[in-house]
Amino acid sequence: MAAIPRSLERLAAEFQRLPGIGAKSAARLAYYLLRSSDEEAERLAAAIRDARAAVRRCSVCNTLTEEDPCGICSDPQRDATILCVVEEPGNLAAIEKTREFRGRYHVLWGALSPLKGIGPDEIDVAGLVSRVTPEVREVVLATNPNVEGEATALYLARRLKPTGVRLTRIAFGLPVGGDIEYADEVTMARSLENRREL
Amino acid sequence: MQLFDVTTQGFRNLTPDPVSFGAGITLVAGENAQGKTNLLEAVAVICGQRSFRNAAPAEMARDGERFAVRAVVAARRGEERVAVTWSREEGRAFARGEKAAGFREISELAPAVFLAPEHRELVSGSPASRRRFLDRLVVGIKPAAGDDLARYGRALKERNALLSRWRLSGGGAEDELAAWTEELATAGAAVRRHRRNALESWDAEFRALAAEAGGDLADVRAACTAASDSPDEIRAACRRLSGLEKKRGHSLAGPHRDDLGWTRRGKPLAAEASAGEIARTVALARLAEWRSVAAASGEAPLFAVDDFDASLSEASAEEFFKALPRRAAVVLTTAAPASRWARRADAVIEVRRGTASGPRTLRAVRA
Ligand SMILES: [Zn+2]
Repeated sequence: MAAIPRSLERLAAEFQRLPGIGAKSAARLAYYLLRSSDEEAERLAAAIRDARAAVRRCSVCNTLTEEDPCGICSDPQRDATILCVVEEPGNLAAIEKTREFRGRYHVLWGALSPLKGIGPDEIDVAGLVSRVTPEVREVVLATNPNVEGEATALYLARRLKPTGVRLTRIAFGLPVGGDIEYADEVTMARSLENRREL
Repeated sequence: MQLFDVTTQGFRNLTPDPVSFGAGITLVAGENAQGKTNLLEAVAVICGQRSFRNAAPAEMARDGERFAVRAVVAARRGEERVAVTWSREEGRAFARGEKAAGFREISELAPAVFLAPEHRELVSGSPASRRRFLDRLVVGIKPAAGDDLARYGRALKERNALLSRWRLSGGGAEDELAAWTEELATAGAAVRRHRRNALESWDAEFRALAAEAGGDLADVRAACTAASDSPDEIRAACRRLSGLEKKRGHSLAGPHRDDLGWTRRGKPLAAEASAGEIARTVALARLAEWRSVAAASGEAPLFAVDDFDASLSEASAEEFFKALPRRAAVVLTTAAPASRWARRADAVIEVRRGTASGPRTLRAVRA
């Protein structure tokens, strides 16, 4: 007497696990895929499979890449003396769009949050510390301007202070509590330009 | 601010018939347990506030599972449809028109001040209820300050989570705690500044009202216990209490520990005032809140009093009605027969077994 076939329900349930997808959108996506052609559904499945097989983390900066090291880390034109620290690859992409930053990156994969059980060992602090060699002049802390991102920037500043490297915090014209992934390009460019010393 | 077509679904014992609260005094009369306070509570909920009886949502839901309240808010900026729904699975959600909205957006759109017998806790209850009063005052006077309150709440929760983990594990990296202390200090100082500013404008109104009331009320004062609103004060306190914090597993310094101290001629008010004096002090405090929020926002908040005549003599009733805000929608509930106060009111609603009849408009209210 089930109104919805079990396999359809399972597909919708998988969609609902994705970030930003509620029950209604999940059901809509599931129905859409069942109505679409075999070819279209197969294309989506193949795209997921291929991306998962081809994409890995850059062994230098942790961003997602098909080649290791990534395009930025292997580009001799990029300034290796300045490192920009971000929480997620999406943040890196937002900064790249502005074309204002010519240095390299370090992706932490998260921010400190004791509530979620995330401490310095759960994000890549160790990797960052090991990358701050004497030839690095500046570390730009570009974690998100919310409580967790600010605390992460403060923590990294304390950890890196003994190295004597110049530490700057991106100056947000963004609403506090925001996410730099969603900042418009002009705001983002200005934030980089006006970064302040920590 | 006026409220039209307030309807409820599954809210306590209320039936879904629409009720409106226009300009002037609306008297909500009904015998005990018929639902007049429930109706006022539904008004509080649709205005983005918590229950003035401190009820949890599940208590307000007739079936313990879900309820909805809808209304049309008429304010200076025009009329808007708002809704609040609560369900056990999805929690509380607000809508403004068709769009989802936050509770702060709603409480800014529909400003309201409530006075209920339970509010004696503002003088004689725990510090937590006084901090709630302070923070409501803050967002009423300056809605943007809500961001800083939320930021502090978040920093406090994170820092407490760390301290509580350390208590079990026996410690951790000092740099990590230091980062959270810094967040706590920055956001905490902002909260204290907002509270001080809000309290300043409230205090001017409160003193004026207390002086008018005269007698022993004229000397009643309220002041925040925070000594300073500099982040250094919080940093220093965290340093001083660091050992104890690690032992207890939570933060011991900051605005979440502040209080609003009530005194009369230098002595604590709660210890020496009569129940009647405390009730009148709280009434003046709410009226001062109404005035300072109205002055800051340019919008006259709705003013609602539950069981307004519970301890009101015929003589003090005169004083009470005189003190009520003008040009506002005022809602007063009473267990007395409607006829007792009807000549004071602009409209009368009678509540019986959860059903409101009325408003019986006594004068033209909606021009
Ligand atoms: Zn890389």
